[in-house]
Amino acid sequence: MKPRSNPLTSGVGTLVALGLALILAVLLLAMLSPNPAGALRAFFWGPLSSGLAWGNLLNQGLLLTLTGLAASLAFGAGSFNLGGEGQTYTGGLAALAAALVLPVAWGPGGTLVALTAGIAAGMTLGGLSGWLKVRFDADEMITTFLLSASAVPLVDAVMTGPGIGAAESMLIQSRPAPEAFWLPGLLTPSNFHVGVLVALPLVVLFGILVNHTPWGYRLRLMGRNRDFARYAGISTGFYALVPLALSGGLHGLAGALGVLGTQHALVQGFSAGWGWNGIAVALIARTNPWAVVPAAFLLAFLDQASRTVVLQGQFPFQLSALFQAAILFFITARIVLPRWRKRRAS
Amino acid sequence: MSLVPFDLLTPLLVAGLGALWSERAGVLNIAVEGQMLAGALAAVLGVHFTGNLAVGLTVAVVFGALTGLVLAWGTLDLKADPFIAALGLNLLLPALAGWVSFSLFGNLGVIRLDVAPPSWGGISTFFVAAVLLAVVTHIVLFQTPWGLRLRAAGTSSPLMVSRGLSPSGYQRQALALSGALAALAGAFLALTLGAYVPGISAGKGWIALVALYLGVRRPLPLIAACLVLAWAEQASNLLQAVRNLPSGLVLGLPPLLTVAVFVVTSAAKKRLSRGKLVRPSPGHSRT
Repeated sequence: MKPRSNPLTSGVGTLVALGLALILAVLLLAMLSPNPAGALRAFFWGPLSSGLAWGNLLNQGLLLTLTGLAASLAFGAGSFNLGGEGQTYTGGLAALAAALVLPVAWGPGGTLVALTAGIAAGMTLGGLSGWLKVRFDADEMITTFLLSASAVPLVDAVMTGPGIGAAESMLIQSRPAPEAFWLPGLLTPSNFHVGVLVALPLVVLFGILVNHTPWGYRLRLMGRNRDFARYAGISTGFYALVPLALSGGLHGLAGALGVLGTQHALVQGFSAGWGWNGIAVALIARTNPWAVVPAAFLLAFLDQASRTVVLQGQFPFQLSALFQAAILFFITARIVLPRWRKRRAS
Repeated sequence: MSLVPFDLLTPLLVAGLGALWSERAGVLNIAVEGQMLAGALAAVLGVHFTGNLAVGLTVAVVFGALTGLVLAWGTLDLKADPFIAALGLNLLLPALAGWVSFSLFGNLGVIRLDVAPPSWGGISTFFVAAVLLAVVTHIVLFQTPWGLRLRAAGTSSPLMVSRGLSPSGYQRQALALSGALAALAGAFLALTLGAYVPGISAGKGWIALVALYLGVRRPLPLIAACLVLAWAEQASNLLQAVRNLPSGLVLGLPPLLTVAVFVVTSAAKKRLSRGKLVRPSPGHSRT
């Protein structure tokens, strides 16, 4: 396989991609919905219309901030972490298993341990791909994806297995975590809770680390040109492994937060899409940690908006998948307006 | 259960050939997974509405080629990153398939056919077709001027430009062919099963990419690589039947075995190239 150039350091397509995705959505809503006016209203107003909707929007925006930060850390160092889905899900399983085993008397301390277990699980999966890359030169884009593809059904199998599976439930899910370990909810009954707020200090931490420290400089150098980084004496092994491990750890944290804050149990497919959305966020933010927050909230809004439309029966199609697809397809395109192109050439 | 799992081997081989055409032209198509799924649905719909296998296969191939051209438009004309654009396609096609299935049948369920897969003296016709395709790919790629130029588009595009040939033209053809073959692989998968099931490709498109490298990017060794990977899948199926394991374990095993195989081949390649001078790959320098 040829070395890939980092797609994030080139291209003008971000706004064009977002604009195209939005235009596409509005057109589809107008053409395919039985009630275009209602559908458009539900789309643009739905995610902001109530405390419940706001809570869900904030919760998802902050979770996508975490997975987007995770994806951009790896992207920034020139590694492609396609295993976010599995790392998130495994993080959720580890957090739940810890919560089931720990004595209830530990209270908030137990919550911290469970969250750490989630981080460790994601870190292990991500770090494993990094190690395979360094040790055996196995492309991390393929190993992260395949390890994740195998982790998801394995977590499904464990979830319903002995000791963890719920005795009787309509959903496929585990036993609930003890209430002592739950993260306090905000804007109930929405999905929002105090745990996801940790995303904001983490953005500041990684924003400073990546943009203002020698460590971050070397990491970005790895992303720009790996051969040059090696020539400059940078330990390419370390900078190939650590960003992937950190990326996995942040994904694991997102999964753990979803379990302890929102679901209070491991529900099949609870984190589906968080990993892919994180990649879209990282692409929009062009690996800059500061830009991850607005990008995450934009995608969270689009996702909630499409859910509202679909739930209200205004539209028979998973619009959010269409958004992700359109954004990924166009975001690295070098779309330049013809007039601008002419001026540049002259 | 036969010694050679023809039904598991066939889709892998055809999808692997699709990936091979694109890789040889220097634009690896990683949308194979999504195109397989789309091809499966297109074929089943074609057969469902006409009752004719040939129509189903044709619909799948044409639609697959179209998705390949869309990818070519994104990467060659809009200059998007081939990898990220293909990921977008991989997310779009299942959503599109869900929508089509929902609009036509009112649900996202299984679409059954009562057409038996054709067989030729007990051997699946699809398998024979897949092996023939591998042989034809070998001949066209290595014995014809067109194949030579297509490979040159992948390895020495500056040379091609200096000879007045357009590398992107050959890459566009390779991507269209790649999409058509990936969709055909999905069609074989669904028609052998006699049904379209949501998520029917189930990671086979990614495993086909691994087979491509395991088969050292050549069509005939690709057959052997696909056989090894098909055995891995068969082994996990057998394990489920014998030990009555939960389905999650069985679904999780093939990608895990694939990772193992992929790591071993990567390690072997690393050993082989050790000590050699690393030359910058031609055609990669961007001006």
